[in-house]
Amino acid sequence: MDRDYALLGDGELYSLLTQRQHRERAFAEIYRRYSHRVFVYCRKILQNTNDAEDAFQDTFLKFLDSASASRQMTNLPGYLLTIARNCCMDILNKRSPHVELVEELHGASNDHTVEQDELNHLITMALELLPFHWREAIVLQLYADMSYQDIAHVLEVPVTTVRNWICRGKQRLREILQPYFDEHDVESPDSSNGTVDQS
Amino acid sequence: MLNPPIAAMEQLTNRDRIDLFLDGALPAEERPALFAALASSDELQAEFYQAYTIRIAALGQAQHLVPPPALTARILASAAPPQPVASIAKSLWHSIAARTTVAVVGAIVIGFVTGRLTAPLPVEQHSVQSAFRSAPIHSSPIPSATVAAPQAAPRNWSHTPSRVPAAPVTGSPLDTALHADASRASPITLSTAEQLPTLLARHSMLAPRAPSIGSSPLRNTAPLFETYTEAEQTNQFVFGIRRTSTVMLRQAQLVQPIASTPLANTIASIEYRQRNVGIVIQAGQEQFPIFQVHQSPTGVQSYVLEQQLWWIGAGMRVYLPRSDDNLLLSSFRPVAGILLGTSAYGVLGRAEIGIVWELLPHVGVQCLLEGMVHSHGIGSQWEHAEKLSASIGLAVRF
Repeated sequence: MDRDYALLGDGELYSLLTQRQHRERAFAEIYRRYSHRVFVYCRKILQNTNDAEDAFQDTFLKFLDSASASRQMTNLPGYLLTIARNCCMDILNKRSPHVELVEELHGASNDHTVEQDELNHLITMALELLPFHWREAIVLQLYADMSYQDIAHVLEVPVTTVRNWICRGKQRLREILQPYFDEHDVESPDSSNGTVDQS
Repeated sequence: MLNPPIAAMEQLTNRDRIDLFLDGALPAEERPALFAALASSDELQAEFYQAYTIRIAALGQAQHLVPPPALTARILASAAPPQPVASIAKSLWHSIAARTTVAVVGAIVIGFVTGRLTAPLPVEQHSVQSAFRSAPIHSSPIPSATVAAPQAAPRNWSHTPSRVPAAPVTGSPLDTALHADASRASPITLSTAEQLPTLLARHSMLAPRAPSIGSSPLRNTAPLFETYTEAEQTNQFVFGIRRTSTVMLRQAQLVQPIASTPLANTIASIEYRQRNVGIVIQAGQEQFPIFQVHQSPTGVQSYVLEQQLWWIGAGMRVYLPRSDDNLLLSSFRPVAGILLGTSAYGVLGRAEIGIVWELLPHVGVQCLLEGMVHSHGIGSQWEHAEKLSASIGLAVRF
């Protein structure tokens, strides 16, 4: 019987990974749900397209290989991001200190304005200036749209620590970007000049 | 996803409250304090809007960061059950039509090669030339005036009867007089003894050795060798077949070992070689990860990993000139080549470098290191795959 995998919960989908006849479609559904989150995390942490794609692919291959009928999956996105984090750490540890960390603007959509691209680029560069734990927590919260609890689960720290990292990190981010805000007079919705998505 | 309020909230500043509020993690009891502070502070309002600006920009950027379709295809294909590519190829290989075709083509090739092998071979003259050059000189020095007549010689010594001005080799008055007569008369036909080098040159196994030629009265007649060098045009057909073994494959973890057909990882080549440059046509079947998007009638896309790649292409090879002075290079010939081709899925480029060990007059061994890049369309994207492989095989030339 053909079942609708989109209606299944994460735990059910994970358990289906160990069944040969359901494995492909269950995996496709998990991929559909969480690939974007994992990919954004890899891209923002590694800041390099090729490395990010390698880490992203390794994440899902390892996830697939590790599928076990005996494991009770309670937090699938957290589990995936934990694998992704380990993959990214492996790449970061192997990475040459001289590797070129650009490309963030590559592949930017054409419907972005120049100002939006500029701001995104500045945010990316500002993130690089933050301590790694702060940056990682902000990326998971800001780009991967994860809750503080899930971030705490992935980073294996208390929720209050995550909160502090994110708050301190975002405040530091604003301080770094202050010259941009001053130049573009970003102080209120009335004075915005297009750098904010008005929709 | 909104964050549930965090329970333990101590020492929250208004700046903290802004970030927690935008993240959906500010407890309800903390919100009045934030709103009151915002209402009374322009600076806090500006900071609020800056935080909002960053958040919106990040969300907008994240929406555009999506995995490439080809990457998605590769990953989803890894969960798919093994495709019956191997069994299809095997049944094809075992089909009567395939076997008959191979038998007929094989018979034609064998017959053609056998016929060429029994024919005179014009390609081994080079070693004869070297043998002459290395021959010791036993006779008296040759007067320079008596050896300079290369322009009268034919350009190809394999055509008999050969006609060249007879040059005296002893330098005696009698020889000089005879030569003067000869230069006035029409070119003479070489005697049987004089034709010996040419006859020997036509059979490689009888190529003269230096000591035995040293007693010939013609062994160091310079015009003979000069014209011989000009005549060196070796046109060869080379049939090669080699097996490849993967050294490095970027997507190796997605490819499962396949031993489906006798032709797996085999490359056949036909080459037309003129001296040190050859034009080559190659065809091969190699294990290579190819991802295909299949769409069902209901619109559901599925990704299929094909692992057998048939390809054909053409290109050129360049050989290092043969050097009989160098013992190593006399039978080992470094070679490099490039090739452009196509498969059923896309286009490919190959580069190869290695050596050809010409251990027998008609048979050589090829050892090559080959790189291959294959590009094929998947969805609206082009996907590239690279492979580095080592190969070894036989090359028959005639």
